[in-house]
Amino acid sequence: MQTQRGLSTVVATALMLSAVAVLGTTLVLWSTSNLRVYETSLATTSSSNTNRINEFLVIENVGFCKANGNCLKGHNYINITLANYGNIGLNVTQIKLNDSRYVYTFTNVPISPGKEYSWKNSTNYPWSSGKPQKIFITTGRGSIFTTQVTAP
Amino acid sequence: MRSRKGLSTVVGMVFALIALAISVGYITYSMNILDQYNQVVIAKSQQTIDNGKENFQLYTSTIKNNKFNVTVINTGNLPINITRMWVQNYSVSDSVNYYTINTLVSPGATMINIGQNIPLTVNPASNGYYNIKLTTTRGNSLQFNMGSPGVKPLFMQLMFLPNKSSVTGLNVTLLYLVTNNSTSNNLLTNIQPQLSSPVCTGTGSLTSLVGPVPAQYPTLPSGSTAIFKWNYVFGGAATNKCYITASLKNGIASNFAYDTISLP
Repeated sequence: MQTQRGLSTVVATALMLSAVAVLGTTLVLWSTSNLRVYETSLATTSSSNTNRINEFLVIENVGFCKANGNCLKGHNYINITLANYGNIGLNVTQIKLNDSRYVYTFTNVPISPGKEYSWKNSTNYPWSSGKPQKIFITTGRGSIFTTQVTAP
Repeated sequence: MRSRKGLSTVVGMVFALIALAISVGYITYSMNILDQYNQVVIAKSQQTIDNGKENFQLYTSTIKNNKFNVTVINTGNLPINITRMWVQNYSVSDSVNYYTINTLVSPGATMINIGQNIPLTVNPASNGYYNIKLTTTRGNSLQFNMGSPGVKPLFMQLMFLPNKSSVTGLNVTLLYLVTNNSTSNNLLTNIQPQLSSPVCTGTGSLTSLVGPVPAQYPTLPSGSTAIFKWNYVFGGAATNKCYITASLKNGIASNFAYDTISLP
């Protein structure tokens, strides 16, 4: 009788230990996996936001050219020079002039730190003297840099 | 029995400690990431504040040795780094070029001879008209136009003092005032006056003694007036008049001023 009672106690203890071990391992694995996902997500979000904040693109010069004046292209255009004064490279994906009618998209225009990039309209852009022109530059990370210049 | 009961507690505690360590690790990692992000935000804010504090002004701009000679003053309380000088020549097709400057200017300091070391020559006697822009590493810029007075008509006056002479052989003064009436930051260069030969009635005459004084104004900023002076001797008989016109060399031909001096 005593031996049988002892056996059930051993089995019960073994079951308890197994249950604790299984539950504990599951909990630890689950939490590790979840926290790893959160860590990755946090690192990615933080990194992309940090990089976006660190982007420092300057619309350094805007030149205007008139087709009937001194313009070599034969149509009105503007010449935008962008300078990257930040410490990370960036990729220009879009240049928008004034409104949605004049949107120019790019697939690969990287500008390294300390470098610049000049762009001219390949099609006619009818700017008018004395009227302000809004310029919106979008980068691959989603930053938008704007400026306003008055045509001469 | 006692030792077996304690075993499951110990095992549970071990797992609890592992879970706690993982949680603490995650929290520490998150705090570090947030701290780094915070540092970046603070740095960016400081950069934006510095950008607003940066302030530099044009002191003068001339053409020396056929090159631009620009002087700027850092009027802010931060050092600035002038990186490039952009020059657009309005009289040449599609001519926009930039030249590297890369010079630091301390707060309150003056930077001279900007443009003297760049490979761009300018003929002051030509009718050239330029747009000049100096840019800094913080993205600010100083922009102004510079060129001959032959682009837009200027406000000008010519006056004899006195313009009526009671006696013959009187010494008179001729003043020529030219105002740069441009509303934008427009610097005119090489302002030199020229007078027509006097046209007189009867026996009237105007004999030049001295002038113009000064011979020229190297630059004339927006809103400023250049004053040139001549001295003449006016002679003649009663009712005689002398008429003279003044204009600017390299100026617009139709932009001139005139005045008459007469004997009663």
